Amino acid sequence: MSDDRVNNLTDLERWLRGTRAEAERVLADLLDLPGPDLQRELSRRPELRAGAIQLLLPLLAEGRAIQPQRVCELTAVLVAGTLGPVPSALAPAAVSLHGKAWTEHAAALSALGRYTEAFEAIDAALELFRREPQVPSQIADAEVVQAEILHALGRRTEALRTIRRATPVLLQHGEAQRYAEARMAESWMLWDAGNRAAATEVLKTVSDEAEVRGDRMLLAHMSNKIGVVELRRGNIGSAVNFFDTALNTFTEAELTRETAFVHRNYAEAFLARKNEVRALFEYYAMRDDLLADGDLTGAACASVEIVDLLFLLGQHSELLGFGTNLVAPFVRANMPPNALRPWTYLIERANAGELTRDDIADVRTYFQELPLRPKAVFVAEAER
Amino acid sequence: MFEPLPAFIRLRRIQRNLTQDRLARLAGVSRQQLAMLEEGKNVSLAFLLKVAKALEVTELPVAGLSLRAAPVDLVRTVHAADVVARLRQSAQQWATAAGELEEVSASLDALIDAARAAGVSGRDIVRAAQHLESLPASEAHAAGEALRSAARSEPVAPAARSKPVAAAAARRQRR
Repeated sequence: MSDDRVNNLTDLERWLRGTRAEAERVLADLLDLPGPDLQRELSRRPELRAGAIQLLLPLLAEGRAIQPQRVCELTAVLVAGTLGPVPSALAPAAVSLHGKAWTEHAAALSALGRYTEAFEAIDAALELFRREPQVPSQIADAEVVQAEILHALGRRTEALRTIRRATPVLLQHGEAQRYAEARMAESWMLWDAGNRAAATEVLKTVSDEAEVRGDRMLLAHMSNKIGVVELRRGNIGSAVNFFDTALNTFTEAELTRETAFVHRNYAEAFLARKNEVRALFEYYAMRDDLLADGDLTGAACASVEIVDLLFLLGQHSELLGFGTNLVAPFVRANMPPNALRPWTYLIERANAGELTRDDIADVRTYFQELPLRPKAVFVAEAER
Repeated sequence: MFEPLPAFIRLRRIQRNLTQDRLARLAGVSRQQLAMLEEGKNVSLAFLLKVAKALEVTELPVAGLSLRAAPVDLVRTVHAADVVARLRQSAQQWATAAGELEEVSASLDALIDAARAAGVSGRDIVRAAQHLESLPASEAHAAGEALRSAARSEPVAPAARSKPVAAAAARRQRR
């Protein structure tokens, strides 16, 4: 590697770290601002934009399913301006960040059903990616989003052509999970178009590929996905068999985030079988895996389900003792005080014998929304 | 009845110099049934007591025990011994069954562990896909939604089970 290249990479790392550190310091304040104020603040301090995008991208992708409106609002602000002063050697990295933000914005618009705007947004992302040489898998990610938008707009042939262009790139770059998701999306598009034989052929092809390549990770991701299909169709026993395969592989590879997802799927399967006790154990396992992964709010969401099931099962004594069982891990993990208050609220309500499922629902909503509002006040408590 | 009893009856009959025919007549039972008793075949308790009375025995080997009693108590004693013998036999069968159960459970656990370790394979995915393809039209929409749901990278936070988020927000507004 040439000296210039090494210097560029060092500069890149320094730039990314620097922008991220500053954004991390002020992000909680930024996220508490209403959209227009946040936009004004980022226009005043454009150097924060790159860091904010870095910090927010993983949260945006996860938050989209639950808060698409909020994700849309935030991504609209992130893509609205430039990334501030960027050394010319780092332009590709800046474009990459900006392109990812546009991709997320398009996905959020699509989740809201605003497909025409979503199409323009994903076009902007791809235009940016074309301007500077990029990591091919990023372009493929954007193309998967584009394909889904095209399908929603009724441009089904283009949609299939686009997603089929993207998927080999994801496979080539070892993105097993995203590849599995993209092929499932392709399968769904074909199914939705009434071509059931072609839709199921996609699934068969992927499993053959995984076997031929000896790609256990791809097989695990596909097993997890097929398990979800079986679960949604009510084939619980079959779903659990698929989840077993996924869990074994993810556990061996020590992928705690992936194992957490599988435990969540198991929990849903056991709940479908009215086996709340087994579901409870799965939520405990999910919480522990997410804590190990450092995802405190994800772990808190799992804990809310634990409290809900204990409540449903009439395990009031365990609920009263959950100060030690449920809250302590978050205290040890240095969860911010504002995010610990919902737990103390639940303990107070349980001690007073006044805990209701409405209280638990309030706490659930609070933690679901927390990642994109890190300083949020717990509303139920604030209203008392 | 148990193995020593036929030999015991036969011995006592011969000691009293009785033929099977004669003893049967004395006891008021059929010779064929008496022959069955001496051959070790199952006979009723009432039949056995008739024979014992004719042989004037106050002692019977039942269930490995030599039961002695006054003739008046012999019926109850033999009956109790018979019940104990049957329960003991059942207990032995249960003990055997429990042993077998333990053995089978252990191998079943091992088989389940092996099955879980092996997990499903690509062939199982192919089978699931084939099954999807063969679904009746009435189930196609639900299957499509299931495929769509699996295609999405789902969030860690599950959707609210007890009530939708919007309902919680509306309730807060009402407070």
